Amino acid sequence: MSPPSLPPDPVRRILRRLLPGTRGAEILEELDREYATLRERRSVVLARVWYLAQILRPATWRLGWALRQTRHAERGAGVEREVRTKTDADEARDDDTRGSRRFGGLSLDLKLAGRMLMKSPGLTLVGVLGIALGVAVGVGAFVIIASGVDPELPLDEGERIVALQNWDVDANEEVLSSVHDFVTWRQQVRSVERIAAASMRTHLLVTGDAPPQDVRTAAMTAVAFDVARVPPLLGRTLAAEDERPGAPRVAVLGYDLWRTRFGGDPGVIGRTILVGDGTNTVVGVMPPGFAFPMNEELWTALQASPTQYERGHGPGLIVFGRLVPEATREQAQAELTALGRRMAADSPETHAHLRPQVLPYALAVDGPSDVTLWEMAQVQLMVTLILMAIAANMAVLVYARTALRQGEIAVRTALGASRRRIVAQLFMEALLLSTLGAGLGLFSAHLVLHQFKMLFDGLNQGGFWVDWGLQPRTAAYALGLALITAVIVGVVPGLKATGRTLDTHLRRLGAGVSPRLGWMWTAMIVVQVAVAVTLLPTVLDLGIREITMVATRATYPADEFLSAEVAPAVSLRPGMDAEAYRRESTARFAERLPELERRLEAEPAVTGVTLEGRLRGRGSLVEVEGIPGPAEGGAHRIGSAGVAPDYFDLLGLRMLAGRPLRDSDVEASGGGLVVSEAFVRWILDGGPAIGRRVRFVSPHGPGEGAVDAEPAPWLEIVGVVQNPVASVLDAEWAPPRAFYPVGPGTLQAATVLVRVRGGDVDGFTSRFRGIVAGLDPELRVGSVGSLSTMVYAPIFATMVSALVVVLGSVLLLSAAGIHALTSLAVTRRRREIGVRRALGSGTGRLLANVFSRVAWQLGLGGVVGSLLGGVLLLGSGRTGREVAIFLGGVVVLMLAAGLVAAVGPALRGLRVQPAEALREE
Amino acid sequence: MSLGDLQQLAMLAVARLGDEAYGAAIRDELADVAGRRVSVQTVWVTLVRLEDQGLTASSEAAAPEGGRPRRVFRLTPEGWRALDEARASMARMWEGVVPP
Repeated sequence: MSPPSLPPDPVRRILRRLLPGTRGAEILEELDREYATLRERRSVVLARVWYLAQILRPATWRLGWALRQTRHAERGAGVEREVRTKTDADEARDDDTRGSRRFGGLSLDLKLAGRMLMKSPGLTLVGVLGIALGVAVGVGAFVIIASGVDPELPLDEGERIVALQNWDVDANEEVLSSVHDFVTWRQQVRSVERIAAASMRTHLLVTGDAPPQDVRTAAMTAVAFDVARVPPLLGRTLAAEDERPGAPRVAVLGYDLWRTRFGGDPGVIGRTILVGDGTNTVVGVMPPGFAFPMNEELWTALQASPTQYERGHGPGLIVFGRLVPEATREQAQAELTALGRRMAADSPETHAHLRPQVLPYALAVDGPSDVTLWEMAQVQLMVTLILMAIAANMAVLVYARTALRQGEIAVRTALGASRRRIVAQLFMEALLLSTLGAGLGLFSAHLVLHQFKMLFDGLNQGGFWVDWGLQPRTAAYALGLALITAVIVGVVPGLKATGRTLDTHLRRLGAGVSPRLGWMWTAMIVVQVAVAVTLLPTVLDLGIREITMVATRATYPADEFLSAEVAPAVSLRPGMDAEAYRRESTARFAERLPELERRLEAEPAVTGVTLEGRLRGRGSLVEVEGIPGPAEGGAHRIGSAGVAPDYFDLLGLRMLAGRPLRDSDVEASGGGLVVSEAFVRWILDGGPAIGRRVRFVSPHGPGEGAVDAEPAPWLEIVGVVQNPVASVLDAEWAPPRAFYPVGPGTLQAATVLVRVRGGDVDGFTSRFRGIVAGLDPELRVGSVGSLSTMVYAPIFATMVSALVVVLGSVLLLSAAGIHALTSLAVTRRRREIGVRRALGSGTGRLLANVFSRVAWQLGLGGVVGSLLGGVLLLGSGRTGREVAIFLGGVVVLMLAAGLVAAVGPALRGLRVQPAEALREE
Repeated sequence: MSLGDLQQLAMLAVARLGDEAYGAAIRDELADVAGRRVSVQTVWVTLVRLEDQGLTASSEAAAPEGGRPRRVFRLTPEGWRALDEARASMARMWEGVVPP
């Protein structure tokens, strides 16, 4: 795994391949420097996308070609030169012997296979693309599902790391462990050693006079580093004495944080930093890639003792350790179950409903929840349907192809080729086709997965072990798919074609008549259309649902707003604690903010100014009085933001019930809460909102380490506002949001939203910076840009393009299959058309005859498919109108593909000379 | 030998930069002085081809502090000649041409 500040390793490796030799290495270094600059000045995601795009640039390929052409590629690479010379010699020797030794062997088969594929380029292209699509979809699903269901920890003997957790049988969910459970397990469990505990959360990091930054931290027991078996890069990791309540607070930095925040300064050890509420001294730096327990970047000591809490209370912990040598997970489970029974007997009120479990680490810490499992099942269903549609098309294409080659096979048999030889040849053709397809599919899957991984990394989702790169098992899976495809595509039809019916074909050869397929042909067209019409609308439906959920946009004119993060510069001075720092930043900000708003509003280009900011402890989990939710501890998951009272007015969001926030709410201790329409719909189930009480909760329960926070105050809903964002495809679908009041005096930093007259946000950006600098040069401005670009546009774009490519390809492949079948069917009737013409049929009548038969076959398939597809779709909850649109669209496309396919052969048939046709008969 | 537009500009950049004529600096010079924004790869394709034609030569210069050694380019006598010819032929073409 490459350190996050370096370019993504797989991409770098590909670029290195493209740019050979010492020159290539020098050029790659320049690209790396450019990546680093982009990453620093713009964003990580942008830098990574840029870096990936370098592979696709024609200039890169031109440069690679130029380097290969020149002597520079080999300069200083003696080994490379030696290898090349040897290969050249081998090639020459091969050339000498190729004609005799290998004749009739594998290489000839391969050459013939290549020729056959080149002979019908259209069919080959459709075949390769079809297999590529199937392999790409299959590999993508395989990698994602395997990384979720059977993750591999990239740590020394990672498979022996286990998590210990309690399962609540009453609530039917896992619960985080308490300090008491952790201590009891650590003292009494024998089959797991080095039992450690951790509590993860995001804290504000303050260092020197750099702007405060959110970092993902873990408060861990010292032994957790022994579980991971990763030594520090600098200084030390945590020590047992750091865990003692009251011990001086220390922190260990992650590599990336050390590089970005401290410029990779080796003298960082001993520096004082603020992490959340505590002043900590840096004692060590971890090597690149270390993000234990999940994806953390800073570690502090967990100072929690069971004497501080009642049994079953205290911070929620994840507990893990290593299986002792020789012990299995089953043995550990048996031991923990027995211990669990004793604990339940000792403290029935807190433990009677808990069943301790020993689980593989990654599954327990970030395993698929019920929701993700349901999503995975949906993805699996979609993948299966796509694969079925592709398989049906490939089968039809192969059948058509083999059927057309019956004559050739018969000739080869007559000339003395054995059945084995012919089947081997057909298999080789199929293998070449499927290997090309699998290679292309694997490459496409790799590119798409890499894109997704970069996006997820940018959003800090998922555990550090999630690896969507191409591993040996993925390549083996794709090769397996290619081999199976080759057997199905080559061997099975080959055996059939060389079987008993061969004599018939041989006899027919004399008459020069192409094979007749009769009712089989009709049945195949009907089945092909029916399969497409049955499956594709459901696949489309699943795809559209997925896009609906992801693709949201603002319901207000977001592109007219300039959004900028503004914060005061407050230096962390020796001896300053978190509270003092917070007080000073808030006070400094409160002095400046009203004046900044006044100056901005005085600008002629500005229509209005408002604020957005977050308060500590108000995140994405809320408890709603009287309505338990599905998330941890009965909470609901929502989006939340602190906003100034004039926020809704300036954005143009209508109040649907109650009142907007007022200035008096900002001063009140709890303040009111305004929720979105979607909040009422999804969380309150459409019930009354005004007056209901809501409070924010922490994902890990109250408190951490020795500090135990008060529960957050209840907030009363005072108003319901129109949804600020909604799905692009379905305005009804919107994520639930809640807004609490903030203003100068409550914030340490804020996002200032400026509505610019005429929407010329870019034009106003430099003026904005000038106004801020004129007010106070020490005010820091970050992430300035149009509000419309601050949404998750990259995720949306990638998901939509991946879905559109897959769905579009399946549709096209189905259409190509129907096209091929219809085209072959009409071609088969060419002579018949000629004869009819000789007997006096007019052009119009002949065409009507051809098209009516094709339309009848396609129509029958369409009807059968619509019935089956309709049942599938109606079961998914779509309305009759939507079902009609989906089915109608696919049916029309398939009919069009079939009818267009018939035009060419029908016209060719009309051009046949009647006399010639009669002679052939 | 006739030189392409980008080749001429790259050679002039090498001449202007003297001892500092390495990849990124040449690219910056092209952007800053000539207003030609090109990718790292395009600059290098040009440099590699010029060197193949014997119009430029390169050597590794001492590493800057904390970095790796850089490849610095210079014009060969043939390079100077080709550049001079290009200028002369351009000047001849301009003779008698009066912009409206």
